[in-house]
Amino acid sequence: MRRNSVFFQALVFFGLLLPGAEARAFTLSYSSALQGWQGTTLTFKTNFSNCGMPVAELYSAVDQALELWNTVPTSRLRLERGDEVTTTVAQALAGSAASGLPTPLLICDPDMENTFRVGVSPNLDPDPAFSSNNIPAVTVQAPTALTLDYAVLVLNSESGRSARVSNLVPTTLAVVLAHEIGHVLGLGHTADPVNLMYYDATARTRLSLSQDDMDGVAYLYPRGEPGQNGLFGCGTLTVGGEGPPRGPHGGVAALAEFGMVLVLAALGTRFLKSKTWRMA
Amino acid sequence: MPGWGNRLAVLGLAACAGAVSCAAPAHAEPSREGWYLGTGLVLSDLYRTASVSTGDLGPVGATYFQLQVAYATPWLGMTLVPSLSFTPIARSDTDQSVSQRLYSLMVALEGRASFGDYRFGTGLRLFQQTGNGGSVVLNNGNSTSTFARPAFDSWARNVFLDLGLGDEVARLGVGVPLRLDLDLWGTSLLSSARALDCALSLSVGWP
Ligand SMILES: [Zn+2]
Repeated sequence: MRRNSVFFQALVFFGLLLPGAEARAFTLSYSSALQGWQGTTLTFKTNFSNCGMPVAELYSAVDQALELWNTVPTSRLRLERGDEVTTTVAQALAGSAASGLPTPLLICDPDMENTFRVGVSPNLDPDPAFSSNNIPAVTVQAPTALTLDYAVLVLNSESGRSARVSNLVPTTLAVVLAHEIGHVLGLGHTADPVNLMYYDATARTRLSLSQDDMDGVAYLYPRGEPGQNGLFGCGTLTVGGEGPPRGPHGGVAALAEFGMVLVLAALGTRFLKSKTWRMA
Repeated sequence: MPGWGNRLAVLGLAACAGAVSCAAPAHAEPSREGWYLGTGLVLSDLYRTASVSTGDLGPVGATYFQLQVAYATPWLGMTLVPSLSFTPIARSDTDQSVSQRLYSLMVALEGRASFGDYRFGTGLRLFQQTGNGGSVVLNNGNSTSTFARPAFDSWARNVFLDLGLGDEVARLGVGVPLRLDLDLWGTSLLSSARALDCALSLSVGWP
């Protein structure tokens, strides 16, 4: 006969106290019918020749920001950093997929305020109120129809301006980059400060994605296991790797995941050993 | 509500550890048979999503209310349990701009141990997002911009590994068993996107 253990009584109690559905959402950058970038791998090129800070520090922040978006289990998309290129700001902002320029491109602009006040290309509407004192980065897209195929992420490196990238602490720089990369992927802003895609990142002291951020990228780039994408994250997402950021007790989740693999292997082996010989 | 996800994860881990040390002999009597109908919650993405504006992480991402149907049948001295679960009432924001549902198809092999039933299996996790279109004006830099709301149906699917623990907790009036089950679903375990969901369900069986 079965026993009603304390363990299960405790679970019933926990179950009654669990929270209900939350009220959140994500948006897309410019069209409800947006389809995002095609394919599963997106390689970001860089031109960090005019950044006014050590390029290695920028690479490190870019890598962290790209890897953050690689930790979404429901997304097929894999982001990576590519080669350094020589495209100028003016060329990049005047370009499109048809121009054959490297894209998506991350580039520093030491004359950012002028660039956006004047609107140096047909891709930009002039914004006379633009201030490089409080905007560290801007993403400009020149999509063809509903498929994203051209984007430039402009980083503020204007001398003497408070929002220039060299003034940002490493975490804030990575947060700013990850937010802008979210725009490159096709995500728009949200009204909830919990989200990385909230318009103001000044409160953020940790590089992380919210459920809405993850849902947004899953919406545009839904993973398809099995068949279209490799099982258990293989093939497109970073195999092995550091894994997603973890909370204060995240070691528990990581241990549980590790335990799952171990126990499954142990049980599977045990089952095969005990059963194989009796199946004839 | 900080704390609950953590405790559940601890319990899940305890369950995993228990399954190794206390597993019943393979020739033990199958623990159950027949159909089970249940309800429960899936707590997604344990300890990996931001829950406050600083970006610090919370114990649980999204919570989905689930209905579940399972069938238990003896197989090779153990119990084979295929099951199906889905979200009957979509998770949505207050403006109903996106409706989200979770579906799972799973097959697990269950054994009987001194502490209850333990199982391991694999399944398919389907995540449906349905956009209702429209737009919204939000802050953007020094002014505002119009952003689009999603308008299509999008399905993401992941194969997951399952480890679970369950037991009959009561017998209702006419001998109908009432079960409580806890499962951990691991997705993308081989990549940096590895994630853990916790599924908690309460079900009734009929022979
Ligand atoms: Zn933004």
